[in-house]
Amino acid sequence: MVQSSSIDRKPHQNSVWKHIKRDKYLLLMLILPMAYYALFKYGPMYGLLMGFENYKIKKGIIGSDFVGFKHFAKFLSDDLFWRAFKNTIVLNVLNLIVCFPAPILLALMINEIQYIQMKKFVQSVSYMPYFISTVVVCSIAISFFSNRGIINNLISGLGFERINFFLEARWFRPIYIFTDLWQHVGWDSIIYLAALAGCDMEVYEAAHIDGAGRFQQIWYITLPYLIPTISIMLILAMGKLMDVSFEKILLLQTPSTYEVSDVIATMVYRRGIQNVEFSYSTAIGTFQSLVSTIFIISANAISSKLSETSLF
Amino acid sequence: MLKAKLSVSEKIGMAVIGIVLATMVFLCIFPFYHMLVVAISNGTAVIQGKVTIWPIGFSLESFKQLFRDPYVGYAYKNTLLYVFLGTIINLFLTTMCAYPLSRHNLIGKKYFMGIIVFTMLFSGGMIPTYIMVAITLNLKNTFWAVLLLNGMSTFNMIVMRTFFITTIPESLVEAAKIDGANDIKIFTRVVLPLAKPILATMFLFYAVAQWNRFFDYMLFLNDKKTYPLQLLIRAMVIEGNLGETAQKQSAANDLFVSETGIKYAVILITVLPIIMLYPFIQKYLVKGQMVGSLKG
Amino acid sequence: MAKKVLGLVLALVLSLGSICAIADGPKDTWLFDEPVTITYMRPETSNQPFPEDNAVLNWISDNLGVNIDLILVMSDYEDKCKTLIATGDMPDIMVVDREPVAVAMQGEGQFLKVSDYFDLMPNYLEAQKDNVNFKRLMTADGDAYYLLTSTFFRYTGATAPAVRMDMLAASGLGTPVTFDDVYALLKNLKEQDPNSFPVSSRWSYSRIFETWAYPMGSGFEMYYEPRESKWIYGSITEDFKEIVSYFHNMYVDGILDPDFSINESSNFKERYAAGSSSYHFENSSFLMNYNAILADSVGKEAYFDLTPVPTNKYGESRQIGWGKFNYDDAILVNGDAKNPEQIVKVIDWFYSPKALEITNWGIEGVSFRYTEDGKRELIPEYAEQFIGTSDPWRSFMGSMGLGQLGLAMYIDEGTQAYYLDDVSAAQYDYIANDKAYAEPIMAPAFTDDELVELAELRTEIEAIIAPALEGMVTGAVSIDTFDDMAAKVRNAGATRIEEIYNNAEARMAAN
Repeated sequence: MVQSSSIDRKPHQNSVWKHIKRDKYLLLMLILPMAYYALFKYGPMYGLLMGFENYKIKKGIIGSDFVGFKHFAKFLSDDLFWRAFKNTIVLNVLNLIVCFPAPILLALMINEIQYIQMKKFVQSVSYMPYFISTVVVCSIAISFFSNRGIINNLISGLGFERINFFLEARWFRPIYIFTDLWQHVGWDSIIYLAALAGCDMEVYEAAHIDGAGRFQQIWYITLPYLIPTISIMLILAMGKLMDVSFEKILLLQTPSTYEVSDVIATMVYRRGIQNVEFSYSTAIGTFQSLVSTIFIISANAISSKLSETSLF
Repeated sequence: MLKAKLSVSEKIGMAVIGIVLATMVFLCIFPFYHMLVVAISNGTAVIQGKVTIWPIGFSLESFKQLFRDPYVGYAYKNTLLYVFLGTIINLFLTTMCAYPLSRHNLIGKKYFMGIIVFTMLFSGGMIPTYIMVAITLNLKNTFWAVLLLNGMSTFNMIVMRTFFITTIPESLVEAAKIDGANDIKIFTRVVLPLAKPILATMFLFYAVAQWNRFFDYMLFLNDKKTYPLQLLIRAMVIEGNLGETAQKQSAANDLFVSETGIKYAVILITVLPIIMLYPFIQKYLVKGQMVGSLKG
Repeated sequence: MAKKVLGLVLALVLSLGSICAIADGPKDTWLFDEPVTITYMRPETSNQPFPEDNAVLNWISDNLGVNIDLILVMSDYEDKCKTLIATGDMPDIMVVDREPVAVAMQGEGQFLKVSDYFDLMPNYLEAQKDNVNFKRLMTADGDAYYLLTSTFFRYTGATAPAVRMDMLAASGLGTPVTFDDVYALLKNLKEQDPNSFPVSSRWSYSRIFETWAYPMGSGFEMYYEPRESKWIYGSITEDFKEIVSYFHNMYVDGILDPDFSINESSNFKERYAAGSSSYHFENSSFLMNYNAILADSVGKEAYFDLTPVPTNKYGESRQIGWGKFNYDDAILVNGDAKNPEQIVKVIDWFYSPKALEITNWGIEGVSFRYTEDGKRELIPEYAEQFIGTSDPWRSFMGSMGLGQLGLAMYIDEGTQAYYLDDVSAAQYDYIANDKAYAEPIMAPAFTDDELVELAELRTEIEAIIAPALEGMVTGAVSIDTFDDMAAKVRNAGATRIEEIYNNAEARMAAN
């Protein structure tokens, strides 16, 4: 039936039909998921219009007055916005550098544990922090890092000055990233463990017989096996470089750390306290999405060049 | 147990791994242990900040406080129902989407993926989504609104698709085709049996997400008897959510059970059932390894 | 026990009665000829959860012919409100946060202009007649798009000074009269226990200014200054600068808790209950908790008691009280509702003398009864079943959905007397009799344009002023830069904000 799986650069009308016929069951499978996207994702997509209009509830999204790029111009000319923009990206890039490789390392380490019960134990324990909500994670962080918290008691016990972690800008990012790492590393490693579980064991045996050491096995077999998963995860992570959980920042920031802790989300939030500005926040959201799109498309292009893995 | 000969550098490596993992295990368990200790300790001691490692006094009052609310019972039942139905919908839609898109010569694959990834980046926002679900589809005050709206996660779908791409060689599919199997048959007979690890993972991911979901239920449900657990307890967990006024007005008397104690009891009670899920699906995640390492 | 069963049977009979009544058709007491169903959404706090199906609602449907379809929302209420308003899918009645929801969205035309219906609402107007802020909470044009809850009686605490009496006695200093006396006392408290930080605060750097600045003779951000009879942006004045150095000295001398701007409420309370903080200028209702715990761990002699509000350099003893009225909630009516008159009449009923009784005391013969001299009192058999819960009064109120956190719009907290201990009662008395605590003065009514401008100016200013003030307290920012900062804030909009406020104030006076 299938003569060649080579891709026709310019398929004839004819061959398109042939392909559709060939893939009819696969396309059939896609109907419900695509209906889901159409209804629940694309259906409400007209809401993006709000960013370009002076949204009035009575007039509705369709009927409100169009104002073009007014809201965009407003925040793009705001110094605070650019500070928040920079902070958002810096925080996320640092977070990516620390929190992206960690679950991979963890998965590899767990993979090296020889005792099955121990392996299961470590795994199930490592993902527990994921279940503590952000609010509680921050409250734990505050009590640990506060002036009279465990950490400062330790520092003072060692004869050093106590540190006001939350009132010094330079400590904000480390605390943010550390809590994020703690909360997510175990959970995120599950994806890699699942990928490893699909790995063909015979390869390992062959390698072992060939005399490859443990770490050589990791380097030459396990890691390459994970590359497609890692690439995809990285591309997706690039698409999130503009997102920050504002709840967490709000809980951890003090005015003393604004210069590094104020991100786009908190800026929008502080505006929203006084005012209900649907149009303005939609405009900022759209701008963030555009930037993310650029990131994700570039990452995808690089990845498909380097590892032949691509998202789309 | 396996006792492969290790070189010195490997022994050092293993020791480092051991230390790192032990530290991590401690960091992950301690907060839970601490919460448990606080929840069962005497409220006075908690408020004085004396409780860190060992419980002081013993009382289950924090837990009793929680279950005095008759709605907690309904909420548990509702959550179980929503998680069960929701996860089934999720697994079905995700698999239906991920498998075809993992086939490298599917016609229009790039377009499908583009359309899907676009929704990860752009969204219409809460207002039009609410209008679509509650008004256009008329799903107000029914849990189906929430289950359908969260029918699948694009992130999870992509994870699953990646798994299919890496673990199911195209040659296997081609071979089945030559044997005369159509795509449905290939999917059910060849692909699904190989997909156990990812199905287990997806089951876990979705069940956990369903378990933790509260915002959409808050938005779409109006009848207190239909609220899931998370909605009921969220307010108790978020300190300061009550705002200045309520703080002022919540006069006194909240003493011998400390606020913190109740908060931690609530967290433990809502988190433990879903954490228990992991060991059950874990065997699918370590099976391959087990065979290998035993033979190792 | 037998009495408890009797009570339950009685309640059952009553509720059965209500079902029969509806089957019987209209009663004389019905508000309308036909039964009416009204949807009513309000938040539910975790302090006082209550059933959707409760005795009060049953009484209302029985005696008024009004079925209230109650929607209770437990968390993230503001998001639900905003979404329902923005999608035009409002319930008939909703209780929302006055700020930001009601004020920011009243210009959108989604809410019923309730002031047009005031002639149908005699009870409401009667209940609000003493409210000095009534006009301030309308729009600049004199319209009202939301209603307020009213208070008949409430035990009111205050943000009040209190000190550990045992340590005050040990200091040999008398009860502090001025803020300088307070500082002397604080230094002494620190000497008595060098490991302690006598003063703590919570939530954010701003909290300590909000609680201390007004009594000290200035005010935090915008406030009404009675000395000058005008609105002032307090945080950049000379008086405020002195307050900032006062706190800075407290910080340097180890008096102010270094965690003052990051403490959560629970951390904050722990400090006082554990004895590591000893001077409390905060919510007075916390004191009895501290005292109970201190009695347990330190001894009976260690307890907090209220002291008079110290006098500032102008010789005033003043503090903003919590007020008789509640300005935090707004009651909205759906502007698209088909039957606005009916809805408004139902709301008005909630302010009637009968509603005051039902929605605060419950059902006569079940939860309360009349004494021989015509006063209401709780029936012990009913009230006693809540003793032993963590908050007996709130549990009682929750059992029927009573009071401000329940269904009441006109609030009478007389039921609290049953559960009140002598010490707290004395504290409430003390505050009620202290003339220092004044009714808060709300901002004047603004136009929509003014509101938008104010919001923008505030965002600008906050970014400059917040890091500066917090830094000056801890010493990260030199206090010498205060004047520069003040000038910058003036230029960034403080002057304009003052102008808007005082213009609006003048406009109100003219009307």
